[in-house]
Amino acid sequence: MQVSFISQKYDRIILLTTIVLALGGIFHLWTIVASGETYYLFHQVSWVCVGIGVMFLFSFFRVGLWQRGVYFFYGIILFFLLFVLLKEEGIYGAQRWIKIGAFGFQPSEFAKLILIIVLAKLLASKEKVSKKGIILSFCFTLIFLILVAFQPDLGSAIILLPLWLAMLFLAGISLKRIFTILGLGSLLLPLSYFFLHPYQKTRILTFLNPGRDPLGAGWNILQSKVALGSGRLTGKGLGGAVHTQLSFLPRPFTDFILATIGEEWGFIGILLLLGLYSIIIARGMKIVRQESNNFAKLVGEGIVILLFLQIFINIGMVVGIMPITGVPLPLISYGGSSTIMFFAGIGILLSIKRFGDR
Amino acid sequence: MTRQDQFERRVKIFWIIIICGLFVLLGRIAWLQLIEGERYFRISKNSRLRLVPLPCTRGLILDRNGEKLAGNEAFFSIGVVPSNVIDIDESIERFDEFLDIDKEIAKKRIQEANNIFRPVCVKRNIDLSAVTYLLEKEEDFPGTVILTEPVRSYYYDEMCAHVLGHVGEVNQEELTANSTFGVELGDLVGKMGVEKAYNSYLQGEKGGRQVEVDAHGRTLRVISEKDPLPGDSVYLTIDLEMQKIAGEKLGQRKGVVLIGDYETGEILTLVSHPSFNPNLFSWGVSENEWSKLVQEPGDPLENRALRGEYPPASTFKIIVAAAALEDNIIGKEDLFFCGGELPVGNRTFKCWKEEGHGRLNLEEAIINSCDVFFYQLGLKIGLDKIIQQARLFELGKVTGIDLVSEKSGLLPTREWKLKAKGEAWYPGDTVNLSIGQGFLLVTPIQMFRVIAAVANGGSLVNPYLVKEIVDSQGKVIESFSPGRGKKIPISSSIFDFLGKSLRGVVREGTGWRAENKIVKIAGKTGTAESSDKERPHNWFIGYTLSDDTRLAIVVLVEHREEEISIAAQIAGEILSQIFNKN
Repeated sequence: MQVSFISQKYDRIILLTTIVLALGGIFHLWTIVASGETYYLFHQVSWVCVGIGVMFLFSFFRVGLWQRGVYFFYGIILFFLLFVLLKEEGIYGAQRWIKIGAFGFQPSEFAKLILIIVLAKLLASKEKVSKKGIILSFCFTLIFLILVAFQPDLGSAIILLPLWLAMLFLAGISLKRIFTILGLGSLLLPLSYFFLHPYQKTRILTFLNPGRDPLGAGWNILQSKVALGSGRLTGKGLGGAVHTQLSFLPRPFTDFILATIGEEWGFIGILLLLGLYSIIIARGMKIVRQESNNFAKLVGEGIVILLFLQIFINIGMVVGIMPITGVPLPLISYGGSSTIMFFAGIGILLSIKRFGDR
Repeated sequence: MTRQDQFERRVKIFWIIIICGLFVLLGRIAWLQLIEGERYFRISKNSRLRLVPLPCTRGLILDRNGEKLAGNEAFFSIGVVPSNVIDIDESIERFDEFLDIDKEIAKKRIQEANNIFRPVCVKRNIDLSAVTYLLEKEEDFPGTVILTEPVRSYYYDEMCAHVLGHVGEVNQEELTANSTFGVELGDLVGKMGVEKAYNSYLQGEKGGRQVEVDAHGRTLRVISEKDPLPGDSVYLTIDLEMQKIAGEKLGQRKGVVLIGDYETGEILTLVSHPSFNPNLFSWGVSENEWSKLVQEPGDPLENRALRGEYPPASTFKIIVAAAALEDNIIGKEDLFFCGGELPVGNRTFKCWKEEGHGRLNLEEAIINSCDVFFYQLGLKIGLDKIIQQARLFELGKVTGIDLVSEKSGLLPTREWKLKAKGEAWYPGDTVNLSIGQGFLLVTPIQMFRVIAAVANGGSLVNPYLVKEIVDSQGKVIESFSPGRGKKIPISSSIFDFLGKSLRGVVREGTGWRAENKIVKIAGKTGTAESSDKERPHNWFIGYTLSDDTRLAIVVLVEHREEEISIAAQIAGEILSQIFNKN
């Protein structure tokens, strides 16, 4: 009975693809960590297990729950973001973590998901999105953005802006307004730049263009391109990530993990990975299209867009077409908060399908 | 169009954007792996990438007339490329045979290098014989390179040390603060003085070259390159000539000479003695030398002008007098009697002049620095009003001069005493306070502001040390001119009276040793008892009465050896020599 229950109500394709992707990620991690080194592997396995649990848990909640409780959840994340900022010590010079027992978690990851839900709530309620609604939604985005940026986690902070714009666009605000916002934004950015100190300007320029810094970020990008490119069509095979194993890349299994995938599994491996991502995105969009509830549709589409944005920004960084920002590769990069957050997102997509009216 | 339809359409637009995005990524990856793949494969197999750092030069520090005070000279250092070292311990042992090297630090640096293809500096400033030795035995030292490095040089050694500060190797804390700035372990950053306060300007930006090399290490191709950006140059308000004169006149005495423009707050001279040689730090000071400097009696590293806290002694009478006149406690002609001592409670407070001054008015009391007059005046004014007046001159508060770690002195109050000493405030404490003794502590730079305010008629100037910052192209980036500070809310007639009295101090009173034929000076002396056993500190704060050169001066001699007001004499000698040159 249980099996048939799952098969009827669940989108099996998205469910299986997600799990395959995460397991593939673990397998790849196993091939690049030194033999006998179980620390990272053990952690990632536990996070994926927790993630799968969270995914099923979230698939049981109706989206109405999120709609009702969203400000409460926003408040909780806000509290954690403030807490992280106010506590003293940081990891890697940034204060993104909250320690609970042996595990730390990054509230900024969950902030992305909660922001999607808040924006959906604000923008779905009315027939037509008012100016007030736009400004209000911007304020909610800005609060998270500032708190995350101050950690400082510029990557996670900057991703919130396109997310906000995408949600506005989906909610159906006129193109004229979209362009007004873009215009205002492009006016304000250089204006605020004008007020910065010269040394702050240098920092921003380096952040935007790592080529300015061939000793630091630029060097990482070059190494990442060498690692990825050297995989050629078929890759160097299992355990063959020689280039990355010699510690050419900083922390090769977090943000730069794609370079090692390309090195070991070649272009074929990359095709497979992007294929799996495409399936999740396509199925996610299908779920959204079949849904009639405005709020659920916005939440679902927001999750799909977040997934795509992170894939694009992370891979873009590894292949040298985007600035270096600490954005992990969804479901693959080593890291608990990001992994669990994406499982939770998929869980919400599943619940939209489960309780959907069609 | 219904909302439903519109949503459908917009989702479709996203679908198109996403597909395009994924194809862009795929295309880029295909290009890297399928077209450029062979080349990258070759590079990765032989690890034929090298990173050649191009160091940047630190900005210059110059005096107000463009005289170079700090610059960079080329010296040799030994670097090690971690990726080419076979056995770290053995390599370090080899160095140790002919160099004085800190093994622990050198090892740590090689092991913790950010980038194993770049040379890490293990020993700075090696002499020419060591260079030739290394070049002869090159094969015994795998991965060792000789670096020609620009080394921070201070051309006047001890003379401007406290203003300029020094550089030193970046510590973990500073590294975190500068993390996106291209600063790494082993780099030098400003540690004190202007070097520290203006480090972000002086630092500059390192350059580098990514190169592909052949099997023999010869450059095949430059992949990317960035030119180093030299640091900006800082022009100080300091006048080297005046600094020199002040240093000479202070001589070997411990103390401070501060000279500045009393209208603008520009500091022209800042001498703090004993001093240190900042060049010692430029090659990374050894543990030994450091502890020697820190333990040396007299704290040569301490900038006494900003961080020395002393009782102001009789120089504080200026503020007490201002308080009395502002609140009409006494008139200018009212008289008090000085019989050489005054009993208050069960204690007897003495005047510096044992036989007493007799009957005198406020101006005469200032000129002769009569203590008993001010005891009686202070008791009449009361603690609160005196402190209130001192607050107007911002004693007890940092002046905000553009150097870091200034001290604030101490302005005692009833609450403070109860908390710090567990005792109530006694009238005797007020008596002490009214001649600037007791708990009150000030820094020389605070007293500079006090005397400058008297000189300019009541404006509290903001002292500063940097005039202009100029980039490597000679373009002025920032130019500082705080100008007149905020007005002290005291009527200007009081400042006129104080000015007249202070001129009297030098003309015929306790400050007569500052009087000279070249420049008219007004000022106030002070002799501060620090403790029973030690010799007193000696103050002179004053200013010139000249129309074109508006200088205020603070001279402090710590534990004076002479029985005379040596500070006034030094101030007179310095100012007359400066004006003689003009």
